Amino acid sequence: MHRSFGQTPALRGASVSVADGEVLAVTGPSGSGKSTLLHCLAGILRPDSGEVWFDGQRLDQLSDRKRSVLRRTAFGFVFQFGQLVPELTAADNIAMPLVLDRAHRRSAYRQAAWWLERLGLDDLGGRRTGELSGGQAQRVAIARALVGQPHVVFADEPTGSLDSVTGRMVMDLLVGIASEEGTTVVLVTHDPGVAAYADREVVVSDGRVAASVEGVR
Amino acid sequence: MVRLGLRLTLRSGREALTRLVVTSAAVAVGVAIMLAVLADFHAFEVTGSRPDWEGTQAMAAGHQSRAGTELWNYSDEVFRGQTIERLDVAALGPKAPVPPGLSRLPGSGQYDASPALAALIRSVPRDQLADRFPGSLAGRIGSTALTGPDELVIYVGGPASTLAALPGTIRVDKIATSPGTQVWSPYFRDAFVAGALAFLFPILILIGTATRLASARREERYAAMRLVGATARDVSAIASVDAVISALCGAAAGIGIFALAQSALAGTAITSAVYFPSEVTPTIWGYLGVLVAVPAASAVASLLALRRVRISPLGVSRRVSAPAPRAWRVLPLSAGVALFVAGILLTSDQNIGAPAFPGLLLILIGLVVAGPWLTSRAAQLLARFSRGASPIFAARRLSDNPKAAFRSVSGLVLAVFLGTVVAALLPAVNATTATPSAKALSNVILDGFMISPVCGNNVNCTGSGPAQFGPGASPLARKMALDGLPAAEGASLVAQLRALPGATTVPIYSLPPGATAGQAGPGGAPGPTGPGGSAGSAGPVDAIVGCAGMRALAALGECAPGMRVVEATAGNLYGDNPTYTTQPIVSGRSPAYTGGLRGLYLQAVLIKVNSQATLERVRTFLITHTRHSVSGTAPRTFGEAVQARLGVATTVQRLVDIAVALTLIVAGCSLAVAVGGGLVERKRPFTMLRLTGAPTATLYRVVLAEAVLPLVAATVVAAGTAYGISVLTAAKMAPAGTPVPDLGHVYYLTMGAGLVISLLVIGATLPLLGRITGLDNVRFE
Repeated sequence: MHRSFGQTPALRGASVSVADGEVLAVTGPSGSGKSTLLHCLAGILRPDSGEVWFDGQRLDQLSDRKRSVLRRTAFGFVFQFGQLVPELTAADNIAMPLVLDRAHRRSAYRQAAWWLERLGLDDLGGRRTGELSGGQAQRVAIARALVGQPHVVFADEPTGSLDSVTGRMVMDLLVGIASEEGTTVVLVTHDPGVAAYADREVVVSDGRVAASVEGVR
Repeated sequence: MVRLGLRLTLRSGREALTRLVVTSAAVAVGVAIMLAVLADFHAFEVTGSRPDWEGTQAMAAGHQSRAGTELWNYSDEVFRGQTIERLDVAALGPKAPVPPGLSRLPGSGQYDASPALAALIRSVPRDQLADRFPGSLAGRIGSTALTGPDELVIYVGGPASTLAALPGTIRVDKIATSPGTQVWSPYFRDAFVAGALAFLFPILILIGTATRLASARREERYAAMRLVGATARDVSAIASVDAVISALCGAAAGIGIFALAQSALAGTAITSAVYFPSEVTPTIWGYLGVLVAVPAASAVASLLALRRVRISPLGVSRRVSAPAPRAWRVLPLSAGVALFVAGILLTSDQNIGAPAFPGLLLILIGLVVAGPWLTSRAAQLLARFSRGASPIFAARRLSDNPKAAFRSVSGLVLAVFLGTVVAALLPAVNATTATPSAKALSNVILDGFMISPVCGNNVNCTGSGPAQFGPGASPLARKMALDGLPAAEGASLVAQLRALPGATTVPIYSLPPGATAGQAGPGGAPGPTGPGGSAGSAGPVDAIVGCAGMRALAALGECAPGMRVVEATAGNLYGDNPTYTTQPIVSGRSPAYTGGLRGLYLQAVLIKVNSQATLERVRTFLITHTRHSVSGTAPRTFGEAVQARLGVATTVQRLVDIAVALTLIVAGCSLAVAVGGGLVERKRPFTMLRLTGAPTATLYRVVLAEAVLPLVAATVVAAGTAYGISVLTAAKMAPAGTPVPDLGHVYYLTMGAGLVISLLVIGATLPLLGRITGLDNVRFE
């Protein structure tokens, strides 16, 4: 894939494949293009050239509406910040992908409650996410990413705004539950400790995949 | 999506609730004002389409049967400056038509009065009012005959024989039911429509500004939703729900505010009369229009705001920022001024300047179009010539988006423009009517007994107008039409008038038959000007007056010393324009009249009174003792004639004042919402500035400069343009010698107060700045 922002190239021929159920860590220095790679894989950005395939279909050729549907049915996202709607409660945020997919409201909130309990947040379902701590907010984000039973969870620096203890707890939850559910995880990080949770690590440098290391975990 | 939109709008915490309240309040203000305008327009239209019974015409000649006919004599009278519509009526047969508001005709010796007149008759001494109407009060006239609750109308029943002998009496077999045509109605209607449309502009700005409140933060939320799979259409739907909920709440509140204010509105004379409360209400279509249009406008404003940004799952990015305003933006304003000047050149001093109206409209549009460019230029000047951090910050932001900066003050600028035009022009126009002579004669009644030669604008004319002879008109009546009251009747009238306390009567006699100027009487000596010369200011000699009486009316001229009776030029007295009716009728060059006054017809009387009570007593006396006068004019003071003529200008001024006041209210709300919303939007950069050591005072100055600079720049241009076109208009349309329009202290006080209020509005938002940029807020959500 190639992708530029104006005159600035971000990806210059990066190529990567992810197996079903695999936990893949994308690492590299700042500005290397790892986040852009993740956004292209998730269908958030379209590459200028190259192809993105998911489950037998060209993701980069889908319309905006179809990619939106894919994001709420097949993908989940855990980002560093800016991913939750602070005016809504934790339960609202978790139920949102299901509500957006026109699921039955009661069913959506029942599943949200189940995930809250699974992540140890059962007392916080009625709290607005703007009032939660960083660790609590990330756990809500993990619940929201997994509530739709996605095929792939894309996580961009999921522990970037957390202390090391909370970060480890969040990663334990994310990778642990993903493994239980058989969910693929694509993880962007510059933290070797976080990368250590992956089955495989690819190192991005200057917009290309410079190395691939198997069996990290 | 609707449910999620409702959830986000109604149950998303304090900020969302505050936004809902502010937006709803803005919409409520707009809706209440729009409903008030529609309500008054409806009352105006209903009143204008009322059956014009006053315009009833005489039946065709040759109709012999008396059944189903009546004698009808319509006239106007005046009481304390208010017009009384009077109908004297006498049935000639059993099925005579009944005027509106009654179930039967008043019998002889009875009268029916409108509720307001009935109350007036009861409350003032008989010799000032009730004596004008023979008989006793039989009932009240219903609202179908009236334009409003304050209208003074009376139907007087009388003997057919008496009525038949009165000038102006006609025989009718049916009463007019079609709407009447008022001279000024089309202008008021156009003014209403133009005013309502012009007023929509600041209301839409207010609603648009309120809808965009905290939009950046909302857009971030929408981006978060896009990340988890919301489509662009989902986001639009959620944004529309948000806007429509605010608009519906605001519309409901606006209707509530209007309902509370409706009775007060009904009691206010917006145009010239108070309407019936039941008519001061919008139509059902008006209500529906507001209820549909306002939420729709809000939804559209919200969606337009979304189009300015690209909301992706990764966040919000502004679309390509608009280029800086270019100088072409002053072209519409310049074209408007040019069109206005061309229109003024095409207009004459006899009309109301209609050719200049398109230019005026284009100037209004041009001010709004030019505003962003002016703001941008002012910001550049600020950055170049000022020191310190705050001007740089303010200028940078103004230059970045001058359109948004000007949008919040555009309503104020339009209000300043309209206010300046009115303040400069109307006093100049009024000065040409309320001349010093007219003021000096304000307590002098004129009652003419000849047919009035001029009858324009209904100022001096009564309903049936002059030159109307009843079925029994005699040769004497025709003689009276040309010369006034016969000598004996005139002498008796003058003697009785002179017996009234507090009144100084000056009779004006017609020239004797066959007389020419300067030779009016037997042995008459030519005056200083010689035969045929002018006695007064203008016009031919047509009257004879005593010099002793004229000394009490100095504004109408004085005779040469030693003169006792002179020939005068009284023709101007009977016009409708006080500029001309108050010109001198005699002068030091007026030729002496040496004939006797006995035997001369009484053309008119001028009576100077010492009080309002004396005025009404004299007027009542004149009305009851000169019923055979054919003049078609009601006894009226020069002051009342001035007031009648100024009435239209006063109404226009009142309408514009109301429009300016309402525009200021709406624009003030817009400014407050825009400044407050701007602070919330920039919470992060302002907090960062404080974190890096910028004192709060610097931030205050930034906010102040951002709001004041576009306001001052555009206001100066608006006021200057308005004053310039007002001077041009006055120079073209006012009589020669009219002074350059002076804006006067009221204008400066009003504009100063407007500026202070604007500053207070901005100042009121500054505590918010201090609170939201507190250093404990550095940790954002």
